[in-house]
Amino acid sequence: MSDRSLPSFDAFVAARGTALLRHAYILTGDRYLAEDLVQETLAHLYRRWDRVAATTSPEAYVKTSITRQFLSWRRRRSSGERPTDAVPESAPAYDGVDAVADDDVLWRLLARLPRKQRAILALRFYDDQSDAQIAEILGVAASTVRSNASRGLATLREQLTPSDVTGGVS
Amino acid sequence: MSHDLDDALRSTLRRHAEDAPTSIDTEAIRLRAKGIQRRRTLESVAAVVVLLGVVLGLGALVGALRNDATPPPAVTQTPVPGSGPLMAFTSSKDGNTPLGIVVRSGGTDTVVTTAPDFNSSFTLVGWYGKDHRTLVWGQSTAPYREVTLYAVTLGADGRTTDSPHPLRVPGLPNLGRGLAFTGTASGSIQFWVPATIEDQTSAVALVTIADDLASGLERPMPNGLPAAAHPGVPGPLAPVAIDDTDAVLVGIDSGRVGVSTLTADRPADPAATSACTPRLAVAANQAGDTVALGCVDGSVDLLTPADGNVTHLGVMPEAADPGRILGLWWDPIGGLHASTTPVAQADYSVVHDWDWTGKAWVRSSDEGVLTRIYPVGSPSVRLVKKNDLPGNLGRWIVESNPEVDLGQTGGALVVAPVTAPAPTASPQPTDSAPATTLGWTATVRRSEVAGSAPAEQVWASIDGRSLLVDDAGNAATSVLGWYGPDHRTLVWQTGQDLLQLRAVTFGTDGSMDGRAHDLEVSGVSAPLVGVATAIPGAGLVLWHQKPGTSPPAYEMVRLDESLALHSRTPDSGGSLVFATGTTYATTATGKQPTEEILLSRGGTTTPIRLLRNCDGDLSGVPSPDGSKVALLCRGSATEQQNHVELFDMAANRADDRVLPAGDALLWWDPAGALHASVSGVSSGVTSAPSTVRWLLASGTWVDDPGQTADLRVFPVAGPALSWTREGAAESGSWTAETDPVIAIGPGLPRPVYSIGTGNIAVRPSA
Repeated sequence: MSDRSLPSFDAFVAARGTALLRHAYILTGDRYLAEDLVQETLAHLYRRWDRVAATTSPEAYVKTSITRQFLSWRRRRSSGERPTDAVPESAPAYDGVDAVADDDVLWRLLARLPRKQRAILALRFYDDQSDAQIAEILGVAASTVRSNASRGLATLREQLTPSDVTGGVS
Repeated sequence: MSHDLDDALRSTLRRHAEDAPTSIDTEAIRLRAKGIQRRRTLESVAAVVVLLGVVLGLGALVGALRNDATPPPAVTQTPVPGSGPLMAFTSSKDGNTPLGIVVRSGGTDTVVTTAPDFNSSFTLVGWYGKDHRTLVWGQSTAPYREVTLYAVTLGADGRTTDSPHPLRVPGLPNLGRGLAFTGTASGSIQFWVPATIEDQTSAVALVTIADDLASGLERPMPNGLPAAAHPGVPGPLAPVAIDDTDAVLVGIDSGRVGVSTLTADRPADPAATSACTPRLAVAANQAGDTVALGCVDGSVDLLTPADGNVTHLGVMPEAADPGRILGLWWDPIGGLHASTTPVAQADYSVVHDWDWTGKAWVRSSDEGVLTRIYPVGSPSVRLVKKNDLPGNLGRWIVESNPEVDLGQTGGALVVAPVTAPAPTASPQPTDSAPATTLGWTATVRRSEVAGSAPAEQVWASIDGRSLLVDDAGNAATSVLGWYGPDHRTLVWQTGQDLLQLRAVTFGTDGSMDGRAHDLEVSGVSAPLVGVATAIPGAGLVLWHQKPGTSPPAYEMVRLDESLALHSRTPDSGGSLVFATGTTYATTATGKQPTEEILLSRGGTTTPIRLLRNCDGDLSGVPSPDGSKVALLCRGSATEQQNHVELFDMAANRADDRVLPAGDALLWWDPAGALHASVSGVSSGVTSAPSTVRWLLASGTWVDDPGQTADLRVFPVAGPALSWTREGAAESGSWTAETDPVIAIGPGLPRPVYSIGTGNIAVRPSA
């Protein structure tokens, strides 16, 4: 493959930038954090873009980088809110009335999950990745993906009522 | 509801994806990339400066050795049989170049390896393997900080039994290059393998190598590098281990100094952060739960990652800039000590020593001690500053009678643990019981660090040696037992909703044959996911979710002691409540609260209506002979109390009993009495001591003030095992009720779904 056929950095960002931002937004649940995450990742990749562009799927490569950057992020102070790996014990449960009134309850509960669980659920249910693919993206065993997904789903299930789920589908 | 939730998740995620920002500022990315490049350039310059410092230090060491009037320790390649502890330290072969590693055994020194060239350097890691006779070190060539691990083994006669070679660990074919540290609490080696430079997406891993070198575990880690363990600073350095599980880093990040818990699950923030400007003096205590950090103002901060506390200990006046803290070390009983110099001049001609009293620093009666090392079962060793030596070079002195001078060094010293009592002139007490072990046991340990997700690990104790078997991460785990030929295959399950069966087989010598893996059984479709129950002495039962079925279909799979398929029985679903070798029960699908259970036996299903509807988690604990079942309904959001129902297989009932709110456990004793233990719960944290009661077979609850254990387990053969809480929630240890009592070690009390053996498994042949 000649260099001419490889996407330039600008062309790639123009073509796939929105998809990257959506991916980051699904992970972070925050527009500003999503922009920051994508910028940070692309800045790291910018200097060796030729190598990234030469991969089979530059978009998959960048999304993997974004996901790993998200999981290893440690700089989120200015936002006043940063991802946490633990759901606070005292997190209030959502009762049915609130859930019916707010069909974003599932989105909010997702944001409370530990980052790895949230990332795995996002990759599984938004990107439709298999457990094996997710394991490769995260650099973990497939069993770890399954157990984290299971734990994340169990947490959601515990805090949702059937009406919440129905509301979410609507 | 499960598939509804799947659909709802897809819908929610895709709907919210529409809210994502839509534009990327490529110019901002370029600016940020330039900033990253600038930062890397500065880091490279700093690395070169550090490298120069190391080279100059080595040069000074070599020069000192050349000019030293005192001859270096005697070195011979043909040692005589030796006794006493094995000690390894870096030195030179003959007072000239190059540096090498010397092992002292029984007063005889052996050079086990020499540096291939002047730029080579060694990082001593420790003594490992059988009887701790294998020396492990890291070897590198400037300018790389990362080392390749090497090893050599010495026989009982003090001679090397093989040539120095790259360390080989079963199951880890390529260790690569990394930074090696000794885990002070677990005895394991922590080997940090960084990402390829500038490659943000390649794996970063922390490899934990068991102290017998027979197995290792590779865990993914967040990007980054641990702080430098300066080769010229002796004594324990980060990372250390907490509860034998989490590696902890003392590192410098963006100008702050913190103790970070190094797992991929929690890369976000240091567990504890010090505001002081650090010096290189860093020391972890022997328990591995506290790190002392020397500060440039002459003070010391104590960081405890478990609770995030930072305690400022105050200033040693002479240590403030231009003076400095040269060393920090802990003694075996937890005392903290320091060495300082009033003027950080080139040769540190004045070195003072300090003791922390708990309230203030006071000058020690010692002078010139840079650090002390306290090997287990061996005389302590001090590194003493001599005025005729430049820089922070000193001499290692073994504090025996008479004292032994190991020679001058700027490097570390590692002493092998003494595994057998040294012969002494005084007779040993004749009534002392011989040391004993419980053979092979396995249990699950849990690590909880404030603000982090819990992690669970499977540990085996092989004839008294602890071995990390598997890291389940953020998943509930329980051991099931020892199976297969000669009961050398350990089986456990891990997961949340449904659990994956995993296994590993041990060799006859107690080493792991390969790595932990998902269990596969001929005749059963993989993966073996569901809920498994150990049938004491008769294999196990797996309530198996058949793969690829939608809606999920289940079957009861019975495996025999050899882990071969015994039988398969289709099941209609619901949730498993309990299982024995011949009977099992599930709840009816989709009904909440649970009003009845479906008892399946011999191909027939009998509904048994509960005395009281259960709105919480329902699980059953069969009696050892399988004739009775105690059903435990754990308190729910609407009903805090637990309650217990008892029935026999003929569906005869006993009245239900209410237990207080809290974390409840049930167990049967061999005499047929049912016991219950309830731990108080407040705001999700178990804190109060357990309330222990027992239930006689007649159905009468009786307080048992004499009961000391929080949980007891009765293996098919062998002594009863007790679990006793130690402080925080789920923190406790197992002991065997032998005479004398055998300590097994930390473990978890609760069987998953109340099914199993109390989360501990003893190999039957033991």
